Amino acid sequence: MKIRLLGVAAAASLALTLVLGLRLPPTEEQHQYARLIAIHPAIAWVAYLAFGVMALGSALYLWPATRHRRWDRLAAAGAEVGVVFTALMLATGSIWGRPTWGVWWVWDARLTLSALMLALLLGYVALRRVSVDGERRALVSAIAGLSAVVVIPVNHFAVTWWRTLHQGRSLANISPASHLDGQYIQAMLVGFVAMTLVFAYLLARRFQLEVLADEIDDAGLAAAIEARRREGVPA
Amino acid sequence: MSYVYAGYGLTVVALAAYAARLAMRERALKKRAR
Repeated sequence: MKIRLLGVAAAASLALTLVLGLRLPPTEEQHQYARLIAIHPAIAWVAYLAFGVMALGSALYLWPATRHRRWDRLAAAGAEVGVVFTALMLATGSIWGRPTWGVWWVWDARLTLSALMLALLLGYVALRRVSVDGERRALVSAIAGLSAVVVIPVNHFAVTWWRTLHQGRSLANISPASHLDGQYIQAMLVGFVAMTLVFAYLLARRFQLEVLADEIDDAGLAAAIEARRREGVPA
Repeated sequence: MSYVYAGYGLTVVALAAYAARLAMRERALKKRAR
């Protein structure tokens, strides 16, 4: 029920983002293309957040005092939802880049590191499918998930450390000193809230799938042990 | 303007498709559990 409510809130805020974003006035520099500001930075924020969730779940699973299957499930859910948002970040960025930069793609630091983020997430998801042994899979995935997080701070500061075609940090625009118009800030903020809610909803749904799959595996294992016991073979 | 619509459209379609995929997987798992 709580997840359903979260879904309704996510859908409503996403609809509001669409209305606010598509009604933004054109700017002198970017004309109507600036309207993508309501979704692209918010999607990028959630891509980082998903990466963080994967790393946090991995760290909590690796730490002996907090080791529990729920953290492995959280990391798995965060990574898969992260794939969707990271791919969307690259796609919407590319769509924005084409009319404003004149190219769909350029191998600069920000874009390359964002592509690396997607590759790392896909690698993590693929790694989880290699092993069938639950504990071993969780341990190996946790090490991979935690190691991959180093790309996040590097990508975040890439636009200040190196000369890139990408603009500076978008979050810096949400400040009293910003020259960005109030309407733009409002649309951006609503976009951030909407994408975070959508992420939370999808994460919760994906987490439930992990729980369900584990329950089925456990029931299957219990049934197999019981069948062997009946045959008189020690389990 | 088509780039703007493409960006918004792709976002909505991708998120809705993923949510639908999750619902399908949940249904399949629940069927297996029965």
